[in-house]
Amino acid sequence: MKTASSTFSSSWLIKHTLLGLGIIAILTGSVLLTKSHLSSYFAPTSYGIGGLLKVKEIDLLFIGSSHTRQSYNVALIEKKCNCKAYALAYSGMDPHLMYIYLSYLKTRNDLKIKKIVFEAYSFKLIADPSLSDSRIYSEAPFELKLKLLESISSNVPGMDFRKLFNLVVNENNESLIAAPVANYALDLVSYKGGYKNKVTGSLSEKEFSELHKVVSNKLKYIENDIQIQSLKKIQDLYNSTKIIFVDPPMPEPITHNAITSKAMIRYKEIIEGMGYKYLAPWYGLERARKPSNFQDWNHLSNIGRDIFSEEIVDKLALKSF
Amino acid sequence: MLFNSIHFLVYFPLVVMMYLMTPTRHRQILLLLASYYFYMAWIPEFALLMAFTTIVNFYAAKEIDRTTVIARRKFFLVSSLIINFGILFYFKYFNFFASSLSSILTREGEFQTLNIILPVGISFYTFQALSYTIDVYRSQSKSESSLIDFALYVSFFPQLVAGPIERYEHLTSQLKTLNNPSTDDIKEGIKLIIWGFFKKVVIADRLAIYVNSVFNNVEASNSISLVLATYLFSIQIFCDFSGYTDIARGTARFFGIRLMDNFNRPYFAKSVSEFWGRWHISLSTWFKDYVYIPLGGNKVSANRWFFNISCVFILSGLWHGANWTFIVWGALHAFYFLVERFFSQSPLADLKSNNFTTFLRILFTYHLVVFAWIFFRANSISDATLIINKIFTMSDFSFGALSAAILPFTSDNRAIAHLITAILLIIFMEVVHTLQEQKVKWFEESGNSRLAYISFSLLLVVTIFLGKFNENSFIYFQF
Repeated sequence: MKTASSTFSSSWLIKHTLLGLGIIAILTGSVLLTKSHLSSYFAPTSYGIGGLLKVKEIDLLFIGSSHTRQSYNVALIEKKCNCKAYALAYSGMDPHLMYIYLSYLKTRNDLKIKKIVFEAYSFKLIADPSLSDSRIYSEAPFELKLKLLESISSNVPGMDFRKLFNLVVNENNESLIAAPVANYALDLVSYKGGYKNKVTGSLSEKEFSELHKVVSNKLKYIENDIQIQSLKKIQDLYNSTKIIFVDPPMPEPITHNAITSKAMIRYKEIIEGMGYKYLAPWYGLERARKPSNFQDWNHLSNIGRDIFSEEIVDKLALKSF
Repeated sequence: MLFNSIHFLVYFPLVVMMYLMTPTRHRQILLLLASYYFYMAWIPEFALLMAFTTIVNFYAAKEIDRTTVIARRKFFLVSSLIINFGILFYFKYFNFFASSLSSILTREGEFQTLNIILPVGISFYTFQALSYTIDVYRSQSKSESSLIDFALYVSFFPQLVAGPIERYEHLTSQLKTLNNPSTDDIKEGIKLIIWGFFKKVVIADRLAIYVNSVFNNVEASNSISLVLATYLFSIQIFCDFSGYTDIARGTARFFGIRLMDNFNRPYFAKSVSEFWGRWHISLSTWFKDYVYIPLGGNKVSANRWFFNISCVFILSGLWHGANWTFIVWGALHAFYFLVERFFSQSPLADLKSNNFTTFLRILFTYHLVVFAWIFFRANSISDATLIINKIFTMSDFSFGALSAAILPFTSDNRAIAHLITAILLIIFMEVVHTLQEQKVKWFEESGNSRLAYISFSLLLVVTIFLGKFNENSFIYFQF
């Protein structure tokens, strides 16, 4: 009989390697399957898709990137229009991802949305599809995860096996482990996808005057076809009374730039060509020249956010709910 | 090649398979080739440097052993020391001394610095090779007759780039008889590798995100984040280095080789001198045997002993890197050591030891070590002084700063989840270390082999799901 410390034989090695690999494969597969199906249940309830799916009826849904989260004071808007609003915002959400999200929401019979404000951030027209916030995937329900995986694996440049592995297996497990505490902490600072009383800093006059340097002269205007097609496919989901495209405010030194101006004009052209409404509410206005309204080169400060939120209700005639 | 790379994931099983298929008498050559391949995965040319070091020490030791004429023996030893330290000085210290001299003489650019890359692991293999030559000179070892065996001793890939710095007698006696590993070797090897990976990719690389973000941006970081980063660095460096050592020891076990352990729960040391018996043991003993004792050890006058201790610690700091931060780190430990020795002769030392005083001593020692880590990790002396100033004045303390302090983990609202996870993982590691220390081998008993499979498979799965697979280099590779 073989003792524990005997020289191993090849049959021993094969048997134990297979056994070890088998156990690891079963455990990994089980954890992965469980994670894929259940991670959405651990998503925050005051932020992102998790919070949205908890609410059954929404009068007004803002969808977009960090611009959306920074641009709309949801509580203020709700108060002003006497409606139920929600900001579904993840960093870096682009038309490509927003279309996938909206097409999924459309299939949810338990969720009623009256009006959608789609973030028309003009730069995204010339940006490759990307997934800059992995929560876009990890907080999504299983069916949405599948749609996202299918699309990003073929449309996001550089999405190789390692990145997909990281996304599916590796990312955001901390949020699951620490969900009770982390979600509670998030609830303290979030309200329906937006910030709750977040006070941000503002740009100084000097910082504001140097913003034109942010947009690189080397940047070329090359439209991304996937982003444009994603915008056009919105027509298959919602008609023009249901969805409005709004470009959130940016500082004038950024918008008054050849590339940005061209992107904005083109965005407007595409949207209006589809028969939808496009708005760039602060473009050319004095507010866009005021440093205190901006936190950085492309996000509103809390001062700017409150001003913009007050205005947008009137601008979009949202009092009609 | 990094242990935590796809390259190694393919390389290692291949080497093990080839090793098992190779007849015993040819295994040294196979491991030597594998080791050089491993090293050449970085910059192939530097393998020549390692080969040169190997040849110099091999023939110097041979010449030393061949003669009884003291002057001749000394000549070959000194020649070997000059060549070894000359290479080390050129690659590692030349720029540091040139720029330091320039700034001391306030002649900016007077001394030209060189555009050179530090060969990875140079301090480790140089010290390992030198220990052999010195041992032969002291007649503690016979000179090696086989160049291949000696080359393998210098380059054995599991411990080549970050130790443990093995002694010739201990490693070569094993490398000369490369039999098949036992089942215990394989089991222990797998356990060590999984545990090492867990410490490296799950804990160290996770903490590295925070630590790097804060230490590389000291000006903008608030005092609380600097405190947190300093504590986290103490854990990061331990997990990074001891994780590497575990992987090294585990991979060596696949060839039936037992490498020495380099760590013994250093942060539970009750004094700084005990810390040095538990941290990077192979380097501490190297300095003790080849620097401290030749200088006279403690059998000298008080002033000379003071010099000996300072010399050993400052050299140890300099060994880590060509930067004033490492020198101050070493000097600080020398200071701790001397003060500790002073108090050990005072009436305070006679106080009765109980659990509470032991706990206080551990806590105090840990904080001394953590304070010194500030210099070790800071990018410059001015950064280190700024960190200390910010930490001890806490002038920017506020509740807002408290919540902002955790942000460097992710720069968004997931930071708190990352902090909680990191704390839970550190607690888990310490629970396992406590069980190991208390020799709880419940999973090693033959009746519990299934439990052992499941425990280590679970640990591997945790590593897969919680690891940071960015192929981060090990901290000690830079030394």
